[in-house]
Amino acid sequence: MAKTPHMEYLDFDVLAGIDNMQLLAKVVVEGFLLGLHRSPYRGFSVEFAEYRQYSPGDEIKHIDWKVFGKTDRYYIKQFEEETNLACYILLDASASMGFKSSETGLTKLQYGCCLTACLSYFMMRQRDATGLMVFDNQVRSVLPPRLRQTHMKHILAELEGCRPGGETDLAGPLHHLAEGLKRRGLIILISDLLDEPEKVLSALQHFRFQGHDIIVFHLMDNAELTFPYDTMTEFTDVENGQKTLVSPEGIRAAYMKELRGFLSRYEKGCADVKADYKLFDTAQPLELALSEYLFRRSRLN
Amino acid sequence: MSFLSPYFLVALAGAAAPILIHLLTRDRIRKVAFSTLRFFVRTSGRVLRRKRIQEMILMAMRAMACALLAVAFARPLLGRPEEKDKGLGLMQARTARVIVADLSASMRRDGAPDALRAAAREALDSLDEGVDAAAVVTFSTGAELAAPLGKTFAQARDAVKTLAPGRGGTNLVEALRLADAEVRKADATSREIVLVSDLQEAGWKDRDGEFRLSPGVKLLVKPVVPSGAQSAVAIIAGNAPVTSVIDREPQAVRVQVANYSAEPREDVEVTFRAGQKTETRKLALRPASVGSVTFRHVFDTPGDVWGSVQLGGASGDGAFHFNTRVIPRIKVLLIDGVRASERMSDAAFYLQTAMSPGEDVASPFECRVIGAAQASPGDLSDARVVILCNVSELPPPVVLALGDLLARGGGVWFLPGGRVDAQAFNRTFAELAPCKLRRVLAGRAMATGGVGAVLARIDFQHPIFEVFSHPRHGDLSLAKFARYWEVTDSQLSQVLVKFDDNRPAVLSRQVGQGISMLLAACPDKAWSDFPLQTTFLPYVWQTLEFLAARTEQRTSFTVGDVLPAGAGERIVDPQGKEVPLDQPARLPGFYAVRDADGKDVRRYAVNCDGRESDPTAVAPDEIVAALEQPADKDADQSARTADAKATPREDQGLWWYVLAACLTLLVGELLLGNKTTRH
Repeated sequence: MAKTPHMEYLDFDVLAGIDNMQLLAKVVVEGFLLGLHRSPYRGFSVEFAEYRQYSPGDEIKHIDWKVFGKTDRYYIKQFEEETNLACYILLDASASMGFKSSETGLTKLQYGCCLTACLSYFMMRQRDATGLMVFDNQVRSVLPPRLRQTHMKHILAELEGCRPGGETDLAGPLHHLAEGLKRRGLIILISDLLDEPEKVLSALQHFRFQGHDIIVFHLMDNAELTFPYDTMTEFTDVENGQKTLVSPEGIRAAYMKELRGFLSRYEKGCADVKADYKLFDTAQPLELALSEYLFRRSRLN
Repeated sequence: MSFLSPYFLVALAGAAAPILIHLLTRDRIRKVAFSTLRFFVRTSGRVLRRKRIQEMILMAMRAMACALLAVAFARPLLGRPEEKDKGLGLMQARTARVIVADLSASMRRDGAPDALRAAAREALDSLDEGVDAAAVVTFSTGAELAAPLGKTFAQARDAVKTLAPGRGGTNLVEALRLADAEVRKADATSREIVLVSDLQEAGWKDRDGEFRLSPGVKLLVKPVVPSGAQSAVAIIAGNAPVTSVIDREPQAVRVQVANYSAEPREDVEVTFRAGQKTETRKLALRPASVGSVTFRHVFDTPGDVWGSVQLGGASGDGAFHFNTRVIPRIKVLLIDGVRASERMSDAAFYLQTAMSPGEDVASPFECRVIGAAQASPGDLSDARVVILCNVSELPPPVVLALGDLLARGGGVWFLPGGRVDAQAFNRTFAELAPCKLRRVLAGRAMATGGVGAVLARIDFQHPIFEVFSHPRHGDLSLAKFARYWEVTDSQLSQVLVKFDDNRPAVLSRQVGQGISMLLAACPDKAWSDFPLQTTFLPYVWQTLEFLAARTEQRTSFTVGDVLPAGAGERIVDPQGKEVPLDQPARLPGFYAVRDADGKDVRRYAVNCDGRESDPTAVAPDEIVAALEQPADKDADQSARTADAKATPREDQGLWWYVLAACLTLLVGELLLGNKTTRH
């Protein structure tokens, strides 16, 4: 089936994998709708969803007696919960995100855009307000969280126009965004985090200080994780153009050691600021990575 | 340096192979745009530098290994190029000729040295240098390779130019054997040995009859005829006592004088000189005859007494030098195992009688007899030999004194008899005796009236029994033993004589500097009739002289012999020049042996081989017929090949070391290559 414009990043297989799960926010956010969330606010917008056959243990008060009168069977009336969760997706579009190791694969930025689209679509169905902020060493664009159906089209259009460029400077834009966000919400950072971990973690701490819940999707190419090169190679840094000649076999051990230290610093730092951290290999199927994350998230709650 | 297989050096070009392979397969640099260099930018430079250094080392090791492999197969030789032919023994030449020059004393006659050099030069000049090969062998008492086989004749010419006869004897066969071995090293169309000699019959008669030249080797004989007259009369042999016990009795010094001429000689003067004494006698000799003159001299001065017997005036040439070592009498202590109250035992009586047979015989022994119970360490202080006759045990101090006696070079002779208790003997003399005693055996047939055990399997090479080896020089097997000891634990000893049942009869053991001996039967009438045999006295004398270590000191030698000298000693020849200790004596006369302080400690008399005076020559055809063999090409070739393979020169093994170095490099390359990253 040919995809329609603006639907490039909506993988229906991915969405089908997510559909049987519920996103439960870790922290209580302010919202206007009352749902099944353990929210201090009683939502007034309760929307019918579907009927389900009664099972022992279900609340009797939820039995629809009118349907029982017509069909002589017990059915439970289910409602979709709603909340006005403000979700901010922060997408890193620096030059390093444009790296891919194979001709046919996705760049990290493309992978991040897919992930962003999936999350946005999912949250729009949850009736959560979703916003998008694209940045490299400065903030490129900001789409504030909205609940309108047309907002999804704006997000997708922004993703389509997103191209890698500029050096990675996570800390500056993140601090800038943290200053601008007045409502508490969920911050989802999608980046390869190729910056000084201390600066990035400091910025995340800034969000946390303002009461936001944080999820970090760390995107890494498979070649960055395994360093599969075997012949003499001249590597060029895509951000600053620096070149160096390398004997891959000779430095593989040192590379892997440095990489492990880098990842562990982020994993530990995120745990310290109570942010969820998930490393994605762009060679992994998107739905697998997303499902695993959401499953872990649901178990936490 | 040279090479046996130089064509393998072409493979040296293979050393370039590792370099070419390195250039052809070196890494093509791939260019990759990467997200960040932060994880390796610090280490990549260091790793790259190390990798490049390792690659250079590896390439050098591989190139060197290839080069060494080529050099190893080329079989390198140290030395001049022409020596490689010697190494293989397969020198290619048209004619290979070995010139054998006689430098014996007989070649000193007038005109002979010039004739010798002329004949040798002629034999050398008839060859084409560079095409033919030549060698020079000289000989007198021994043979020497003066110039090895080679296609360049410079060394051979020098050797021929310096040919000069000495004073040695004629060892013709030894020279031809050496020449034959040398000429076989050539793969030549014609292989020849040219013998230049006066062909003395004396040097040919005593040859080894088995020796023949290799098949195909031609023997060309060039007789040298002296222009000067042959000395008609010469001393051809002499005889003087080597050692003599100091005595007033005169000893005989005898020389044999030969008249080689066809005329009788009536007035040959023979002069004897020793110390202050000079005595001249006249000798009449018939044509072609040998006569002898005997001088009598009293050797009454301890130490070396030297002198000579010479032909006087124009009587002839030759001299006989002698050196007699006059020794004090050998002090023998006989410890008899009988009790003090008893009369001397049979064995002690016979032994004492053997040592002092009578007033008219000068005994070299001074014997003292004591009982075993009276023996003390002081009794042994001046004894040279101690005889333990029928002694089971002695006081410990006396046993210690016996050990000291052996340590300083003395001798102990055990003669166990019926009074000896085996256990006590074994316990007391375990460290000194040649063996232990087990039990007394009866001669096999003696008990039933038979002949008993006899001595058999005698080591006639031993100095004690050497005198009995010749016919009519005594038969030791005539002695019959009714009883004798069976011995055991004789592993450290040498068995010199066995009984006819193969049990040891006479044993000898080196203890310290001295020697202990044991006769497994006591020489008394109850045990054997040995004391009554005529061989008993010489056996006792020989044994005692051997135990006193007198017989090993030789004082007379022949030109060509290497003279013995101890550590720190040096030898001075008759002209006062020092002789290297490993060089033979080349002049006749008296050689002095001096200690480190320059003091004369002994002298040696060195004489020419008396046979050198005999001018009788052997016919050249006889020598050629006796030594030459017809050529057998196949056998000859295989023999030479086998010879070359069997006797490789030491420096041919150099290629093994080169190969080992190559393998070591390859192992090192393997180890370093495993540590080096490929990319």
